[in-house]
This record gives sequence, C-alpha cells and structure tokens, in this order.
Amino acid sequence: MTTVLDATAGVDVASYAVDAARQAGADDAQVLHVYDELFEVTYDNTDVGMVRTTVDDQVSLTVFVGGAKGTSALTGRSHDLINQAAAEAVAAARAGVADPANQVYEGESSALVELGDAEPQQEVMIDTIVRHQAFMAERFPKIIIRDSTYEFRNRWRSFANSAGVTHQARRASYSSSTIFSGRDGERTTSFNYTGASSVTPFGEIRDAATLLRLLGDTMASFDPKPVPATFVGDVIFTPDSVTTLLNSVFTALTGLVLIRGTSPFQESLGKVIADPRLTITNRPCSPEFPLSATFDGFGLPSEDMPIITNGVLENHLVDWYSSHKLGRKANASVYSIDVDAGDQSLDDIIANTERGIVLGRFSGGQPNQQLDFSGVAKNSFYVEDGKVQHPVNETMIAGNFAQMLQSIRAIGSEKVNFGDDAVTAIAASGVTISTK
Amino acid sequence: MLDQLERYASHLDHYTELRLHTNHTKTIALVGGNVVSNGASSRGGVSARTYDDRAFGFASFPSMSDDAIPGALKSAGGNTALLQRRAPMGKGDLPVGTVGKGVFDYHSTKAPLTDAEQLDAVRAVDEYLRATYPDLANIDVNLSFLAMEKGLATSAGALTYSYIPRTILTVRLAFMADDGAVEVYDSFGGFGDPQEHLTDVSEFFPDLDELYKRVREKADGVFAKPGEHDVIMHSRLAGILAHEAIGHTCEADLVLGGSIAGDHVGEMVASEKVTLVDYAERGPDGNGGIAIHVDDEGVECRDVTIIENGVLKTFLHNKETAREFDVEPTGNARAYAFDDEPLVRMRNTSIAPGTDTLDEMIASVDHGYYLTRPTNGQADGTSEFMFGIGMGYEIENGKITRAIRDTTISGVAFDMLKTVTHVSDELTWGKGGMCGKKQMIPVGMGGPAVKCRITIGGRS
Repeated sequence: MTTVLDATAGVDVASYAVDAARQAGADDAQVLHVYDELFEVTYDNTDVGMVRTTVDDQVSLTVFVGGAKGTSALTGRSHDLINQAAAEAVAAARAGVADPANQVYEGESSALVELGDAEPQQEVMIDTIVRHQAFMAERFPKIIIRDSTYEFRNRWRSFANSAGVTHQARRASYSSSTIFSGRDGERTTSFNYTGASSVTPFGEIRDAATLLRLLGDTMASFDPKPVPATFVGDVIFTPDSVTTLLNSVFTALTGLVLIRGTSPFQESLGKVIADPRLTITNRPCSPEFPLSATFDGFGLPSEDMPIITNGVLENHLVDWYSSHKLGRKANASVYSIDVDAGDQSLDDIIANTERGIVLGRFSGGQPNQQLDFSGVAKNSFYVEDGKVQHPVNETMIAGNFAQMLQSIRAIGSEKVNFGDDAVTAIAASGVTISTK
Repeated sequence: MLDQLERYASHLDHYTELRLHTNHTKTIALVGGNVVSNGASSRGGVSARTYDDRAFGFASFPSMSDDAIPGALKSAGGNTALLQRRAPMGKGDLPVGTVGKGVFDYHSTKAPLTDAEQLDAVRAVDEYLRATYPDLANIDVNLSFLAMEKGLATSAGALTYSYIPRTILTVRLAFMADDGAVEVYDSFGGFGDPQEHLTDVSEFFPDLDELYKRVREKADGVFAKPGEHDVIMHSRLAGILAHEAIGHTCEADLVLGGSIAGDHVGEMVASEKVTLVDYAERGPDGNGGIAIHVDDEGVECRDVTIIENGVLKTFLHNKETAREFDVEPTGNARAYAFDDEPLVRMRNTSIAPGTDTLDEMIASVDHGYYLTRPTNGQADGTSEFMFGIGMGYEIENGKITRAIRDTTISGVAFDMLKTVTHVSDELTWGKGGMCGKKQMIPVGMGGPAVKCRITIGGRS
C-alpha cells in the first residue's frame, strides 16, 4: 500500500483551512479532514479478479458569515487549493441566509484515538479468499458468488474549528461483502448479500456475521412459491433484515425530521413507543464497532446513550444544528445501534409463530413520514403452525413501522455484530402479507 | 486534461486505462425554510487500471499532478503483480471493441449563475409555495448539481474528454392529513448546467400548483387493495420499469451471476408491443437523462436493443463480460468517481413508444389503478422487481377516482411484460435517476405509458 501523504498531519491541514477561512472573511469555520487508504480484493467462485487500492484526501470546510452558512469540499491539501476552497465557501455564505442556529461547537478537544492495524495483511487476505473459494466449491457448489469483496480500510479523521476544538482519530477495519445466488440447472434463486466489518482479519470468510446461515437458506430456496393467501400475520425480521425496521425508526427520531414537524415520535420523549422487551442503545464509542466514529462533523464527541429502554423513548437524535433550532441538548450524529438480546432463539421464535414469514430481506419503497411501508419479501420463508413451510416469491408485506414497535412479540437471543450495528431477530404482529 | 493524458498515452504498453476524473457538485437544501446545505465540492484525481492476461490491478490517487499519474500507473501494475503471485488465473486477453475518441463537452454557453443567484432561485421556489399554500405542513426544496468531468487514455488508443452536467431541483411537500403527514415530490431541471434551468424558476410555478393539488388529493386518499390488478403506468414509471425490471436483469455481469435472463435469449419474454433499448449518447430524441459517447474502458458506446418486439436479444457488456460471451463490448462500462473501477451500467434505458393514447388506455380499465409517480426500485436475478409508488389513483369504469397512499408494486418481469396490452405513443425522460450497484451513477430512464397487470402491496 502506497502512502503518498502524511496521514498524521490531518489536524494541521484542518487548522490551516480554518485560518484560511477566517482570512477569507469567515466569522467562524469548522473543517473535517479525511485521509483514507483502501486495499480491496474482488472475487467470484473461481477468480480473484482485481486488487484495487485507493488513496483519498478530502478537506470539507463549513464557514459562517453573519450567521449564514457556506460549504466547500475538495480533494488535496495544497495551500492554494485550500485557500481557493475557503474563498468559495465564504462566497457561498455571503450569498446565504442568516440563521442563529449556525454556530461552531465550543467544547473540549480530544487526544488522538487509534483502532486497528496500520497496514493491511494483504497476502493473508488473498489466501483467505482462495480458501473460501475452495470451501464454496465443496460445500455449496450450486451457489454463485459474484462481485464479492474483502477489503481493508484505514481512515484518519481530523477536525478543527475556530473555537479551538481539535480531534483526530484513526480507525481501521476489515470488511467482507458477499453477493450470491443459487443456480441448479434452470432453477435460480434470488440474489442475496451480507457484509460485516471487524477490527481484525476474518479467520474465514464464512465466519463473517450471518453468511453461513444465509448460504444454507439460499440452498433451501430453489422452489419458492407465493404465500397461500393474503392474511394478517407475523413478520420475523432476521438480523440481516431488522435494520429495515430500525433504520426507519431512527430516521424518524433525527433532528431534521423533528424540524419538519412530521415525525410520528415528535412528542414521544419519555413515552412508551415500543413493546417493553425492546431496549436499544447507541454505542458509537464501543471498540466493537470499527465503522463508528469518536466525533461527528460538527466536532461533538460521540457518546453512548439509551434510545429506547424497555419500550420507552429516552432520546431523540438531535445534532448540533438541530439542537439550536429545537432548543434541545445536542448529541453527536454518530450512530451504532445495539439491541439488547431477548430470550428466544430464531428457531424458538419460528416454533412459536402461528402464521407469518421469516423476512430475509425487504425490497421496498421508502417508508413515508408516518412510517407506512410496503414491499417485497425477498429471501424469505412462509411459516405456519410453528414450522417453515416453503421459500416464498411474489409475496408482499405492508404495515406501519411505528405500530410494529408496539406489536413486537419476541426479541431474538442471538445477537449479530455487523461492525456498525449489533442486532437480533425481532418478531412483530399485525402485518398484511399478500400475494397476487 | 487531454494534453496531459496525451503525454502518457504513447507509453501505455500493457493493457491500461488511465483516467483523470473530477466530480463537481453543488448542493443547496432548504428544509422547512432553513438553509441546511449551501455549498460546492470538487472531488477528483487519477486512476489507472491494468490487466495482463490474468487479473486487474487498479489504483487511484487524489491528485492529477505529474507525480500522481506515474504513481497510479505503478501501483496498478503492482496490484496486478500481487494477484499473479497469490491467485493466478490465466483468462486471456480482453476484447478491444470499437476504440472511442473525441471531445464531448456539454458546458453551457450561457453565463454561469453566481452562488447568490442559485440560492435566490431555490428560495424563490420555497417562498412561492410558502406564500401561496400556507396550510402545507412542510416544504423542502433541494438543488443538486453534478457534473462528471473525465479524460481517458487507453493502451488500445482511446483518447477522450467529456463534461456531463445535470441539475435537479426537487420539491417535496407535506400536508397533515387526519392520520398524519403525507408527502409528494416533483423534480425540475435535468440535463445541463444550472444556468440552463434556474434562470426563471417562475416557469415551475404551474407545476408546483399541480403538486399542491396532488398532496391534498393524497391526504384524502385510500390505501390500495393488495393483489394483482390492471394498471396504467404513467410514462414516469415506464422508465424505472425498463431499468429495474429488465435492465438490471440483462446486465451481463448479473447474467454471469445467475440472472434468469441468461436462459431466455431468443425467446419471447414480453408482449410483442414491447421493445426495450439502452441508448448511447443522448438517446433517440436527444433528450435522454445522461450523455455518454465513450465508456470508461475506452469503448465507443452504441445502442443496445435488449428486447425487440417481445424477443430477448442481448445483454449489456463491458470488456470482461464480452469476452465471456464472445461478443463485442457495448460501451456500458462506467465509473462514478475517480477512485471507482468501471462496472457494467445502464445509460439511457427506455421502452420504445407504441401507438396507443393514454386516454384510451385509462378508459379500457374497469377496476384498477393509474400509477403516476415512482420512488425507489430494486431488481433481482429472478427478474422479480419492485418499485415504490408515491402517487397514484384508483380507476373505476374507465375513470380516474380517488388518490391512493404510498404503496409498492412488484412482479416477475418476464411474466408481467407478457401482460402488456397497450403502449402509449409518447416518449418521456425522467429528470433525474441514480442507480446503485456498488457505486451510485446517474442514469437516464424514459418511456411511454404502459398498461399491464401487476401486483400491488396494500393494507386494505
């Protein structure tokens, strides 16, 4: 891996950019510098097709002039380029609109935090892929893997603002992304995919999060059929699909949605919004989440905090800007969802299901502001009388994510850490499951 | 940019693509009247990709200096050598295709708008809506400009420069219905620099008035009935239908990955009324959503007729898949950013217009739906697809009745396309369109209105 620039100089680059913005006429400025090195290997069943290395060096300036905001971002760190970007950001701000919520963060600086390898274990990674190809040929010869990647990313993030706040952090991670489908003569299955990140290399690709289970599910999916009839039943979100539910809920808790005034959780702080078995914590500070961050783009340090505890909404996700618009306490806009494990295995949840589906993946339209959703159940299975009956196709689900939080009937006991979130299976009732 | 590339072009002895690439963006976002985004970015650098009979090596650096370019070439070669040592394959040479050359510069000839003029245009739209329709619960106005500027030289002799701009103004309205907020959106602008679209935004006001009517109708709307129905898809949906239902299924890399399309070349997969083309350049009428003349492997782009009168003809190729299928590459290899490798991507994808009129088509439906505005979409190797519906209406006895709330439609493309009975006589291109497949990339999606049977998700 070729390092062409001094990665450790990020705070100096950011501080120079803050000064350049002030000299260009900014009242205040904040700058995020990201230096990123990637080593990525692309492979399929038989070929290791490409090694891709990239270096990125981005400076993002936000300036305030008379309370109006302007931004500019560039690749590179030369003083000429930064001076030009600072002038462009100031020009944008001068054309802008004053907003008292536009302020730089005033708080404590932090010392450098580092996590993970400084260099990729290149040959170990390629050898791991070659072993995985052999494993797939032996155990899953009817599964086609395509455009899958195993990567190492080393990222330095540095921050400075005109209030004298500085931060710097380096986080490195290994990530596996696998895309696959089953093929047996003219029979084919839906595409499926999963990915995971880890601070250390994966011993075997198949050990990355849920891959081995999903490969087995794909082998069981060659003869899908629609659910027998339209009905209202249970949806069992697997760890791979549960972020469909959780991310939609989290979006509705964010500051910008609260500013719009359209969130179904607008007035829900301290109130019950979910079944009491549900507890979700934001844990961006945990070293178990290499894809998280120790500070956000405003310079706020990340902090762990409860979001939903025993079904009660404890915190909205209010970033620095939104906090001033809403008159609320700010928290860093860095999120790593950690769901408390429940007391039933996925197999137990299925055994306790009268009628519903195990949802492997949701292919759906964007939920609306009220969190109404509808979409196709992909990589999914029909469940009746506590047993998986068959894989499904041409089956749709529709409901409301906010209502589903209230109708949760089981939380899975097997937590999966994907590197950004750690989640479990969640089963909820009252979903319309339809066929054509 | 071309001068710089020419200095290196004659020294590219092994298979090499050398690309200088910058994405220029401008974003202004008003959320509830607040300017939450106001700025520009310029993200660029050099990339090199090499191939030597066994594997690709790719490397990129965030600079176009005369230090960075040799560095990228050397690193790419080193990456190929690493694979040769650890995982040799030996797959043979890549086909050359028709070598592309030329300058394709779509800079506007009009004077550029200043930062203040662009922000004023966005605020004018916001202020018009705020003053005219004070009962709206929320108004978001978002300006998104992207220009992809690329220079490419290859060892096969390609040498080309392009500047491809697109300006999209998206307006999203929320109205508080009895059961909560409902939203609709519309997009304005399209291909070209901001000065091509934002000089007089009052031209958009009649369409904004219509958009307000739509959100009021939707607030009083009903949930669609789940199940299979007769459906008229507005031309706005036909583009995403072409893209999601067929286009992805016929990308040759996905065919190699198991897509069911691989089994059906030469077969009737659709009604004979359906002809579907992925167009190069700016499409058949010069109004496609993007422009592409030479792809990022240096191949001259050509139109690809995927389905002709219902028969599946061929797939979309880059050089690697063209070698696997023993055909010529079609110019579908595209990369989004300087540090991205080219992938098989669609360009301007459209169902060809037919001879029916929209009014006749609606009148032919006893009970069904008229779907007018899509949201997102996804495809699958089984040809099962979905896309979200942001606006639509019930049809009863040939007449449009109540609006419906957000829903999703799905189907198996190679079954659903056989149910197409009507194709309207107009070709309309969407204003925007981004496709995600490892990388995001702008695409053009267009088509006529289509009548078919399709499955709707719903709760009633």
